[in-house]
Formats: sequence, structure tokens, C-alpha cells
Amino acid sequence: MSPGSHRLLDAQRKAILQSLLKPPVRANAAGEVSKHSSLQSLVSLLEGSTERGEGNSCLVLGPRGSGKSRLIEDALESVQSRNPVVIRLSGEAQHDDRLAMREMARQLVRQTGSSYILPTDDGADAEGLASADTIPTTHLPALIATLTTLSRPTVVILESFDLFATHARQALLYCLLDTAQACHAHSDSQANEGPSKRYGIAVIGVSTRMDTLNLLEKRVKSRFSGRLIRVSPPSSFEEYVDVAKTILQVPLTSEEILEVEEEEELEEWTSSWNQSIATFLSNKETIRVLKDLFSLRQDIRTLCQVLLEPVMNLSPNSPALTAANLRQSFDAQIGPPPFAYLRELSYPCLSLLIATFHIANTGHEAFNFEMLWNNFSRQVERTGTMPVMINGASVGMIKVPREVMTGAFESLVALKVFQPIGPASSTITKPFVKYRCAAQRGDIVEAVEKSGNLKLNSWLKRGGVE
Amino acid sequence: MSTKQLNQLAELLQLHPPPFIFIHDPLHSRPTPSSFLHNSLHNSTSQSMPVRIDCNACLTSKMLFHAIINEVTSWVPELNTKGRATSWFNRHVSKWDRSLDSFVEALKAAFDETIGTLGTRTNANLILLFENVERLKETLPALIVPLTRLCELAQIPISTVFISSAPWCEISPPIGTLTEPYLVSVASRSKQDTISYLNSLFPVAVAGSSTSRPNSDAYNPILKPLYSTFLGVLYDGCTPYTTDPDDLTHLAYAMWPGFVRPVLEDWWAAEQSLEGGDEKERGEDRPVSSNEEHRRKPQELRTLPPDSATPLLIRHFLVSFNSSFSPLHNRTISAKSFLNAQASQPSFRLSQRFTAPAMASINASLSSSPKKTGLGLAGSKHGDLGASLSKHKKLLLVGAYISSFNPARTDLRMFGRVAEGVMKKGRARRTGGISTGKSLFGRKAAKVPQVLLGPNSFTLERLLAIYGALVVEHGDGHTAPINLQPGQVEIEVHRTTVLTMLTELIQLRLINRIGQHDRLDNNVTLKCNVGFEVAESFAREMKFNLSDLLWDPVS
Repeated sequence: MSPGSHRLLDAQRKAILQSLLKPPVRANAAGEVSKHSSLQSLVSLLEGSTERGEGNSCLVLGPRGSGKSRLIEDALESVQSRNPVVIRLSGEAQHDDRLAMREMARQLVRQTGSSYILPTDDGADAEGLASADTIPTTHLPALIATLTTLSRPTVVILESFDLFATHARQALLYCLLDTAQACHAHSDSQANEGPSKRYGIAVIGVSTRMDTLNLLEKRVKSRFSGRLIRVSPPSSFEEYVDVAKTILQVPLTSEEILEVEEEEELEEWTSSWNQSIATFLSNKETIRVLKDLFSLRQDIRTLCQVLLEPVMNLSPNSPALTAANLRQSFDAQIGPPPFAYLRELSYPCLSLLIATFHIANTGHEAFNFEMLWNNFSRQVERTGTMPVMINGASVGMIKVPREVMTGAFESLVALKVFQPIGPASSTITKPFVKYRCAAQRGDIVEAVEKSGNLKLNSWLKRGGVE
Repeated sequence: MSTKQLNQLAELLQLHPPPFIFIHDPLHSRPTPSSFLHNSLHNSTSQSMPVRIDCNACLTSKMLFHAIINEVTSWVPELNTKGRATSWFNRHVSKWDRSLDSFVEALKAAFDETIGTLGTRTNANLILLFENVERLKETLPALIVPLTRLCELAQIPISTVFISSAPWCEISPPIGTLTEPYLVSVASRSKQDTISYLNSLFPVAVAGSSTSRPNSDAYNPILKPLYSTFLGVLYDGCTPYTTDPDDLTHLAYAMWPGFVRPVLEDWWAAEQSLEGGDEKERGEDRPVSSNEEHRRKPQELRTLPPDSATPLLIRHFLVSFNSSFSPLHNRTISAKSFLNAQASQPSFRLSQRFTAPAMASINASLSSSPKKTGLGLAGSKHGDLGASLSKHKKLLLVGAYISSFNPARTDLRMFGRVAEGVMKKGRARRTGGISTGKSLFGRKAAKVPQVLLGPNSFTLERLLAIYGALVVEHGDGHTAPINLQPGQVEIEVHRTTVLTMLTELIQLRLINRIGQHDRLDNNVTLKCNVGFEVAESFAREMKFNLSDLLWDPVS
């Protein structure tokens, strides 16, 4: 490869990494139907609020990673010209209505530059607000009513909408939805009275729970418009691959092109890169991995996660994506084996694991330290007396003092490989507390084999002490 | 592998950091992922701001918030006039640490201000490295989800990196809204990584500084190439038993001065001859502590030995390696005392020929010294206990041991007597250890001896009965049973003393009391808390064999 293409590869890699962080909205023929219609309906709803002064409410539902937040961002972008006040609340951060209210007030202050809350004592500056820990919830309707009196339209986005429904009496939701509905009624009656000075409000709930609507109390529900916008991940495999293709074939932006002088070189690069991506995506193994992934999780975010590592691995030495890399990354991201690290453990730890293996052979799944220690020390004793030498080395296992073994045992407990059975009891002394081994027998066998310690391996294979 | 992974991760964090990364580090690898990432991001030209937070130190949400803000703003809290610590944000708003959203607000302000001092904020991002996240699960479970979504909550480029020894599935709360992290596992310990880490620990010498360490000559920067060779040899030697970087650091610290000693002896001898003229062979037995005067000597004499001498050093090292490895690895001797023991032994100069007798004597001294220390430690354990207890207390303790480890139904066979006064010799049929047998699923599991399962609880009455039997038979050191009619009275007289002794033993935690402590009736249940070795040593003092009285003796 020429130095020029090195540079281009690097630029391409960076561009893909960026697009992995912000995956593109599907704009191809297949994806257009679902996403576009939901985008359209959301945009028209926002337009109703921002341009015609309507009060609107809707719920955006969809599984995680399906692009709900993205959809809202895109829709907000399209009404940016109307300069709405955007208030974002999250059910994760605002655990109750008081917090939500304070956050709302804070965002209002930041976006409009003046305060709308009704503090009794110390003025209306930002400091007063932030320290206003004790705003009574009775101020809630007053605060929310101010939303419609602003000189700009308001958009309230409630992330994790289902968590807001758990707040006491659903007061916040009630007030918000009531305001939205009232605003709707007003704009209908005043629509004919010349250019109205009333600005609309849109309340958008976002949730992954499909039954969110049922969580609402009757009085809240009756004030909700009932509009549901569903967002779904790609439904067919072809669409899914198309998304991957769009991400990987992201064109180099002007910023990166600036570094390259010859346009011909860039064109050549783009075509060769697209070619290499097409080869990669038509590879049988690649398709198998992507199919596995698709049947597990359909969302784009997971796809991006899995693609991240192969893209990071791109370098002048390996300038193309490979299916092997993809498989490796798939294994690491989707349910990595929980005990892959056992083989890196020290000799005492592995000895303890083998002892649990042999104790399990005698029919005891539960064990305590004393049993493991007994098993191990007998094995040491037995192999120590063997007059056998292999390649000039004795087959005897190295002795480990009880204290070191106790340390190894505790480190395995800390790693949660050994998990206690039953609650802790003060009447049982430490070496007799029962544990069970969370690692499977296969994990132990593999770990010992890969650790390369022949003595341990033969102990595992030949069986324990009689 | 792990270094490569971490390098890649550092690059990713500089370019386009994902909002949430989870690093699974079960083996506490060295250098720690957080310090590695912190250093590489700190030294890079990018606009990333790495911040380390140790979750072990953050017990409450307030502490966590303060830790994050202080790190971001490099604020060092001071005590103000009221004796309270000042916080960076107090200048702006008070009570910001009460709740999460005020904290997010504070974080935003802190970010803006810090970035403002750095310059442009186009590519700036904040990278929060949380260490020991498994602790958060216990202390602040409610904060895990918000921390993973800080980027969304604060609307500033934040990348949250969790580093934990527990896997992600253990930590993640079962909520559907949780962001799935980009998973990285750094479990592997390759030879190359470990050695390069150990190499990085070679102290950087400061010119002209005199350290008090007697072996400071061994860490002369000239010797660094030799040190790498040494680490390779050490790693290979330790591989079957340990590849833990911490263990290897310990071993390298203890063994390196011994490895390099012949070279140092050469240096010292050369300096000596330069100084003392015709006194040539003084290097052999000169004390190590007088290095200081040599430090001021011109450094020309100190050169790395030729490559051809390295195999000689390695051979010399490997001869003593096995004998010194076990005690050091098992920590029966500390690195310091090992070093001292080694320093006091005679060595030889590299330029001299090895002679067989010299080697043998060195090996012998090397192998003998650690063992002595080990034995000394083990021997003192029961001695103190034995001296502090009276004879009857010991007997009571042995009785408690027997009560705990013998099944109650065997007492009659163990202590029952026929009229002639001869003990009915009914005793264990089994030997210790868990009997194997190809018992797997479906078949009955092999029986585990009581001694491995731990002590059983027993009632006070049973202990007193067994104690009585022991007193009658062994109380005065008789080996033969004494008169079988001691009379009820004697036993009754003993009871108060016995109970007092028992209380004392319980206070010493040699016997544990089980169940409610406020009950005064006879239904007191107890458990023996001493091991076989202690009980047996006491029995031996009374001149009887404990194993004879055990149903299931320890083999």
C-alpha cells in the first residue's frame, strides 16, 4: 500500500468509527416505510404545536436500541426554525415530581433567561432555584401553567416515561397532559380570532414498555391524546445488512478530503473500499455471524457494538475487515464466557478447582475449605512418595502451606467462582463454611489444560485420592 | 493481548469514545486498566480529560459526586474557617450534592469551566474511569443506571468507563432501559506483557541521590539490560506455579540482588583495588553496608558484564532457584529477610571461576536458612495456648472436641465399660478422607468424615458425661482405668468448677456457644472451636491417644 492509501485508510477508519457512534437513519427503500412514517407523524405533531399553537401529546414506543431517541432528535431538528423551548426529563434521574419540577424550572431558566417559579423569599435568580429544595408540590400546576404562557412553543420530552407513572398520584403527568389538552381546546376556539399569540405545547413520552398506556390512571389517561408512535428495529435480515453496509461504506467527508490532494486517488480509494466491504458482507461466515446476531438482537446499537472491534483492528497490515475478526468480536460482546480467565489463575487456585472437581466426582456438589485442603494435601503426599521421574523431574506436586491455600480460596471467593451456600452464620467457623463452584466442570478442564501445568493436568485426569 | 486491547481502547477513547464502556478485569491486572488509560490519555495530544474515581472510597452518593467534581476541576478541598471542607462548586451554588440532577448541573458547569481553560471544546470529552465498580452494586445501586447515561443526562460528551472484577451481568440491574456497554475483557496475562510491566518497575536512578537501601547498587541503570534477561529466566522458572505479576514482582525484588551479586562483587573488587592498591581479594568478605563510599567513585569501573558471562550468571541463579522459590512464593520468609540472609552470605566474583565446593556451600546455606525460619513460625502456634490452660481445662477441651466430632450414638461404644473395668474396644472402622467410588448421579454420595465437615453442636450434659469419663480414665495421667466407683459426690463437687472452666473456655472462644445466650437451663448447646492438632497435643500431654477415642479418626 502507498502512504497515500495509508492515510486514506486511517481517514476511512475514523469516519466509520464516527458513524458507528451515530448510526445513520435508514433511508433505503425497505426502511423508508416504517421509520419514515413514524418520523413524519412525529414531525407533523411537533409542527402542530410549534406552528399552530396546538397542545399535543404522544408516546414513542419501541424496544431499546431501536432509535427512539434518534427519531426525536431528528424530528426536533426539523422544527428547529421555530426555536421551541425543549425540556428533557428522565425517569432515571428525576425519581419524584419534586426533582422533576426543579429540573424543569432549571431548564426553563437556562433557555428563556428568566424565572417562572414562585419562590417566596429570595428573588428569582438561578441560585434561589437550585437551592430550592423545598418547593412544595402545590406549585406544580402553577409552574406547568407557565409553559403555555411563554413566548415560544414548548416541547417536553419524558424519557423512561413508565417511571414517571410510578410517581405519587402521577401528578406531573396529570398536570402536563391536562395543560396540553387545555391548550388544544383553546387553540380550537380562538383559531379564528386573528393571529393567535398563544403558543403550543407538545408532550412526548419515550418508553420501552409496550403496556405503558395501561400504567396511567384513568384521569391521566383521559387527558392523553392516545397517539402512539411505534419505532421498530429492522424487520428483515436484508435491511439489517443494508444498515451495516451504509455504516461501513460511509463516504469520507470534506474535512478528511482536505488532507488528500488528488481527487482521482480518493475516487479510486472509495471504489476499492466499497468493493472490499461488499466482499466482506457477502462472505459466508460474515453472513452467518450477522444472522446469529440478528436472531438474537435486532437493534442497530448492538450491531454497531459488534462492528466496533473489527473496525478498530483495521491497520495498514490488515486493511480489510475479516469474518474471523467479526466472529471474535461477536463472542466478546454477546455473552462472553464468564470463566475464560480461570486458566490465568495461580497454581494454588487451580489446585483448589481440581479438588472441587474430584469432590464433585464423589457426589458432593457442596464443599468447604477443609475438604479441599484435605484432598489437596493427600494428593501432594501421594505424588511426593512416588519414585517416578519424568524427564529428570519428579512428578510430585509442590507443597503449599495452608495459609497460602486459604488466601487462594479467599481470592476464588472474591472472584465469585466459589459461592457460599445459604446465609452466613456466626456459629460456623471459616474453614467449614460450605460453598459451591460456579464454574462448570468443562471450564475447569479447559482451564487446567490451557494452563500447561502437567502435574495438575495429570491429577485432574487420573482421578483423585482414594 | 491485554496491552494491545488497552492501547486500542485508549485510541478509541481519543477518537470517538462510546458513551459507555465496561472493562472486565477479574485478575486485577498490572498495570491496572485505569492507570494505563489515564496515563495514555493524559499524555496524548487529544482533548480527552481522563478522570479516575475509586468506587471503594465512595460510600455515599455525596462522596461520589464530590470525588468526580474534585477530579474534574483538580480541586483540592481545604478546611475553611468553620472547620468544614470547601468544595469547588460552593462558589457557585450550595447544596449541589444533594441529588443527582443538581450534580449533573454541577458537572456541566465544571466541564465548561475546565474546558474553557484548556482551550477549544470542539473535540473535548470527559472520560470518567470508575474503578472497583462492583462495590457500587452494594453501596449505591440506584446510581449505576444514571452513571451509564451521564452522556445523555448532561448533554455533554462524557464517556463512562466501568472497571470491575465482576462480570457485567453481575453488576447490571435488570432494567430494560439500561445502555448495553461496549465490553472489554483484559484477563489474559501474556509473558510479554508481564515482563514489560516488571521491567517498567526497575527504579529510575536519580543522579547523586543516596538511598538507604543496602542493595541500591543492584539497581544501577547500567544493569537494566541484564535485568530484562533476568526477568525472562525468572518468568520461565515460575511459570508452572504462578504468573501473577504481583507474585513475580515480589520474587524479582527478592532474587535480583542475588542474581547480580557476582557482577557487583567485581565492581567492588575493582574499586577496592583502585583504592587500596595491593589488597586484591578483599571483595570476598567485605560488608555490604559500606557501599556508600563507593557510590562516590567514578562510574567508569561499573560496566555491564560481557554477553558471554550472562549464561554463567543464569546457571548460578538456577542452581539456587528451586530452594529459594518455595519459601518466597509461599511467604514463609519475607523478601526483606531473604535479602538480608543472602547479603550476609559469601559470594564470588563473576570474573573468578566457579568451583564446585564453593557452589555447594552456597547452595547449602541458601536452602537451609529459609527452612529454619519456616519451622520457627509453625512451632510457636500452640505453645502459648497450652501454657495458658490448666490440665482440667485441657481435658474439658478434648472432651468438647470428642463431643463435636463423634456421633452421639457412638458414645456408649466409645466410653461404655464392662464390670471388669476394661474398655470395650469399639472404635472406628473407617479411615479419613472422602471415599471415592464411582458414585455419580443417581447413586448415593460417598460419606464425608465429620472432621472435614466441621464440628457438630452438642449439649452441655453430653460434654459433662464425656468429660467425666475422661477424668476417670485419664485425669491423673493413669493409663489404666482407675477405681470405677468414684462416687456421685465427687462428680457433683466438680460441677461448679467445671462450669466455671467452661465459661472461661467460651470466653476464650475455644468453645462456641450456640443458640440464645440468655437461657440458663440445661439446654445449652456448644461447639468445639479447636482443630485436631491442638486437641491431640493436649491429649498427648495427658498421655493418651486422641485417635483411639474418635469414631472417625484423622488419618
